[in-house]
Amino acid sequence: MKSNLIFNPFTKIAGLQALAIGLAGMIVAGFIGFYSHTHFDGVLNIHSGLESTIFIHLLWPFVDVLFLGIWFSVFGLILSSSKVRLIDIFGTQAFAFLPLVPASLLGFSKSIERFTATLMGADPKNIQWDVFPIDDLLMVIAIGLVTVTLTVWSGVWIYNGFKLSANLPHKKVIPVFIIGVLVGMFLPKFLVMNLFLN
Amino acid sequence: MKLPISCPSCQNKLQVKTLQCGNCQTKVEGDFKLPLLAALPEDTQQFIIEFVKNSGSLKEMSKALSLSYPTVRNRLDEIINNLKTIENEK
Repeated sequence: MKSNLIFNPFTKIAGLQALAIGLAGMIVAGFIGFYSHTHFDGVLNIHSGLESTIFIHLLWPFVDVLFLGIWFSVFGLILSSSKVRLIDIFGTQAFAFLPLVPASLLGFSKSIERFTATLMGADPKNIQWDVFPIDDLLMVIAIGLVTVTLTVWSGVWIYNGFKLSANLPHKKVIPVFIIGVLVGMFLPKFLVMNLFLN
Repeated sequence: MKLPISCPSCQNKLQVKTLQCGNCQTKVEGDFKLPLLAALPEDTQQFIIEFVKNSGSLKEMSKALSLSYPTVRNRLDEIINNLKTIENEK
């Protein structure tokens, strides 16, 4: 049961409670991201290096979750024969953001900053890997692995949150999930950039 | 003792052949079908009992079972589908 909760906490928590905890996590991630210059500019997207206003840093996770909530609500209501509650879809999607909260800390690493600066200054056709200090390289690899793990974990929660909230079989969830995540990787970025950063 | 509802050999639904009075031991024999609820697995019967005891409220059920609302609703939907299947088989 414990291992199931790691991958699917929504058998125990959904609805308003999940929404409240998820929103709190998104605010925390936005605040930390502001100071660590980490931003979540799309569904399952984590990038460092953006210096922007605190409003923009807080806005990214909300736009990501709002997009997923609307996307899954539309397809949940169309495809499911159960009585789907929108609060469960939005609540589970907000809660599914939680694994990404620790990722907002990763931008504090100076190794990423140095690695990026060195990489930007290097000739892309002839990158000499020995110009990167080994401890920076190892740290960047470790941060990459942690980020991938947290992203996959969040993705599993997004999938299971939608499946449980809409009571749909895997064959119906899979295409909606894949297309939703792919669109969600770019649409929130496009919207925020055009509406708030121009 | 748990009431067997399916044949251990071929998995078909069992029928009631004999009923006996616990007081005078009078036996009644015939071909009686199991009532709809008795034909359901024991954990499903328990879920339905809890559901009735909670006045049919899924919110109360989710609190009583420490499960989320959609988990309880999905379980109920599954039972409804099973009941429809059993009814159609009859």
